[in-house]
Amino acid sequence: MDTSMPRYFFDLHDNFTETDDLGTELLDDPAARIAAVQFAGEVLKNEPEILEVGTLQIDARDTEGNILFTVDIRLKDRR
Amino acid sequence: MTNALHKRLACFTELDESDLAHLDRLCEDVRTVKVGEDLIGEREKPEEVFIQLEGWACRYKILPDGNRQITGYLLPGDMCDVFVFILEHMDHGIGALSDITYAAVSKQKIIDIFDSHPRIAKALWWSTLVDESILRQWLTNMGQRFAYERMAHIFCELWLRMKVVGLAAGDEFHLPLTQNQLGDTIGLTPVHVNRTLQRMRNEGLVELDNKRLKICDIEKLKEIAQFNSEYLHMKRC
Repeated sequence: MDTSMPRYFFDLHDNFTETDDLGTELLDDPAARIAAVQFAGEVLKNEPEILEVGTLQIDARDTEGNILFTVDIRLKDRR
Repeated sequence: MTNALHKRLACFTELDESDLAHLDRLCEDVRTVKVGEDLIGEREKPEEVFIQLEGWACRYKILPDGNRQITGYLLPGDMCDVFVFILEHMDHGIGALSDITYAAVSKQKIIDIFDSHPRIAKALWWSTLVDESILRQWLTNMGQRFAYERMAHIFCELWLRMKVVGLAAGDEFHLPLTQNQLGDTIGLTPVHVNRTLQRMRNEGLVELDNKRLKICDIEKLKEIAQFNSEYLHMKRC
């Protein structure tokens, strides 16, 4: 693994907040965006009930703690 | 050094002193490979059968985009397919997940066993069949089970496989995998592996520190994984 790649942290908020302490090395911001969307997809595939009771939000942070972007998924009842 | 091999084959059949001595003679050509190196690469011609003595290796395939799928682990006492030399080339690579020691057994020695030591020959066939069974189980887990169950299942399996070869003392064993490698095995992104592991830790199922995996609640873990060890065919363990 190329150690010069930046590290990204993906914090997950549904009913609870799960802070990512470890982080993942990824090539660049576009790669991090893809990883975040894939992560959201995996979480929802495994725990679809999350959207029954709330939203799924994934915040991507850099090593300095700046939030770079957010994936925000919700289910809206339209009746 | 062949202790794990003796224990592993003992799961299947009783081998007498002369069988065990013969197994040791098979393992005379001992080699080492450093972590990250290949024992054999994809497309190379297999000339020998590898018997894993110490450390972990894996079978893997690499896609053109560089993504990797790990399709099997070789733990101490495991071997690669007993008649692999029939093939013209390897359809996958075998790489070291830790520094490893293995024995390379020549084609002729393998053929001789089938003439002279039928009990060992049968045990080697058994080992190859179990590898295939494990692969079927992994495929089922990948296709039909959720991430949490999948990870619980692989931990139950590895715990049992390490235990029968005497390498899991006190429900704790050396797990030389990175999170990436674990993800490449059960088809999860590293980010998701990280989260699934944290969840297991929070629920008091496992602890993973410094590449040592401690199973804290094996019964709960088995229940989550719906783990049934029959596919490992360890009839004497």
